[in-house]
Amino acid sequence: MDYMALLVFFGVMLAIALVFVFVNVFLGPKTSDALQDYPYECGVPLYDKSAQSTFHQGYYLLGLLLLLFDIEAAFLFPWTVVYRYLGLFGFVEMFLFILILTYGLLYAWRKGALNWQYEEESL
Amino acid sequence: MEQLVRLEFPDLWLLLPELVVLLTGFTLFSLDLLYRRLNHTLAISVSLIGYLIALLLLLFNWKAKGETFYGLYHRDSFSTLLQAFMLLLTLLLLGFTRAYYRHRNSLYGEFYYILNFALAGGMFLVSSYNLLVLYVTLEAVSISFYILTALLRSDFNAKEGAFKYLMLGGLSIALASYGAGFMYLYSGSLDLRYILTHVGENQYFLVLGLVLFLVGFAIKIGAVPFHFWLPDAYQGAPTPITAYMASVGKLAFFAPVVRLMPYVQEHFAYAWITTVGLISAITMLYGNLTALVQKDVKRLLAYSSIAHSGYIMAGIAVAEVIGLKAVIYFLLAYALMGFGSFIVLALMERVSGWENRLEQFSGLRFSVPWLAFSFMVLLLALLGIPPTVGFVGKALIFMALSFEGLWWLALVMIVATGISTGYYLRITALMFMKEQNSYFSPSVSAGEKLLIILITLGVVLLGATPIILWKFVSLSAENLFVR
Repeated sequence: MDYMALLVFFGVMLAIALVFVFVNVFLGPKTSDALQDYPYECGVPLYDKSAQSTFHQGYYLLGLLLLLFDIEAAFLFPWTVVYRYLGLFGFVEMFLFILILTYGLLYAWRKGALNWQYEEESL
Repeated sequence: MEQLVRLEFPDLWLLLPELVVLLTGFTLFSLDLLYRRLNHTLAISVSLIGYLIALLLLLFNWKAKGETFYGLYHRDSFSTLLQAFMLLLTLLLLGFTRAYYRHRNSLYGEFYYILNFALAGGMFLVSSYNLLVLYVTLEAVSISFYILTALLRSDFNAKEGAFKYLMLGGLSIALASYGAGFMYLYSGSLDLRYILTHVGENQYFLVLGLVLFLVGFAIKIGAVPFHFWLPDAYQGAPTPITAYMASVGKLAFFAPVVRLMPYVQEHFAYAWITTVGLISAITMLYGNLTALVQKDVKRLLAYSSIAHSGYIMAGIAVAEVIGLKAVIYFLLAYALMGFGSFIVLALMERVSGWENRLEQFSGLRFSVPWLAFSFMVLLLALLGIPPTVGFVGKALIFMALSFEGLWWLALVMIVATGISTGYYLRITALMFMKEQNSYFSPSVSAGEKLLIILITLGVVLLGATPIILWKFVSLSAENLFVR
């Protein structure tokens, strides 16, 4: 009985996962047009069968960058709770941590991950 | 609240080698930021200098021992030994990568610091008992490996292998962390030593946690019911990276299991021997039987790598000091042999028209006699022929098995080795006893030639005089058993 909360947590987790999977089906706009996802090639039938429908790579990169700051926030919360006992040491430690994460952001920026209007080979 | 906060300034001397490696990584990272396109000569020189300093620091502080970061980090002779080997293999690898990637038209500056992060993750992974640190470092090594596997320009197989690796690797990490959660639930601690010596109620939480945790590691190691990613990832990856995964990757992923061994034998000796022994037997037989029918030599060596995981796990099943010594020796031996054999393939792949097919090896001694000879020595080492390091490893495992009275497992091992003779000797026979049907001769620089010869010599030397390595292996195994 001690771990009832875990079971509840498991249930909530499962529910959220299922909602995320199916909410798209229920709420997403529906088109019955078969050609909707068809890759466009100047109005002629597809020559290159390996051509796929396009999906913006930027979404993945944005997701990764979100993760960067998500984790930072997760670490910041417990730190604020005990901050007054940690003193200068804790302050410097957290600054180092944020500095390293910011370095990651700088890297993403420099490599062009924040360029939403991407060009070919923008390295 | 205040008594919960314990401040301790970390003893940074203990992890100085790791810090040097990390600093090298950040230097490479910053250089890449600064120049946009990293100069490869610069990157290789920075990496070489950093790793050499780290290796020297390790060798000069050979006896360093202790814990820091509130017990999160643990240095002992086992971690020092494994880290020294990892650094050495990385240094060797850097001698071969540039020419290979130039041939495959995939020179990326990112390669150097991703390799560095894999190495740094591995170095931390072998020196901790803490579940959280194990989790983070396991992720560091694995994610670096996924990227390194995919890092080939317009190569479909590399992407496919990397994707399979990513999926099953993610599953393994999820399982391991789920198991870690149960172990925490059982004992209220994240330290493996405490968890396994703790006596509490609800022991089934411990068993469930341990099983899930070990299944996670079994996927990483490539033990048989969990091996599906391994042949594809090894075959698809750039060949130097395959060599790296088979050597440094194996060392890193086996280390936590080896650290677990002394503690498990006290409580679950019987269950441990049965389950690990059974998985090991299946792994050995399956790996060798499947390797026997492969036509692609790179895939063949990947299956041979699975079989070697089986041999190592046979040693792990023996939950005694002697088993531990055999396991560590065999791990180091396989790291060297596996690395060497994949690197030979990496050299041959630079010839246009070479596809690692079995029949292309026929008459190789006419086109590149020295490489054919080195490859033969490495294959014989993998098979376990006396004057090589593979023989010592297998003999030690066999000895450990017979001391413990695990005759059935020893028998399976002999049978599996017998099966493996089929494919190792077939390649050797093709190279030396067949007529040449086409001419393949890679242009190899003098440095690369020297490194290959050094690896071959090392394989023979460590086999002829095993005492060089045995001293350190024996010491670190005994240290692991001391509380």
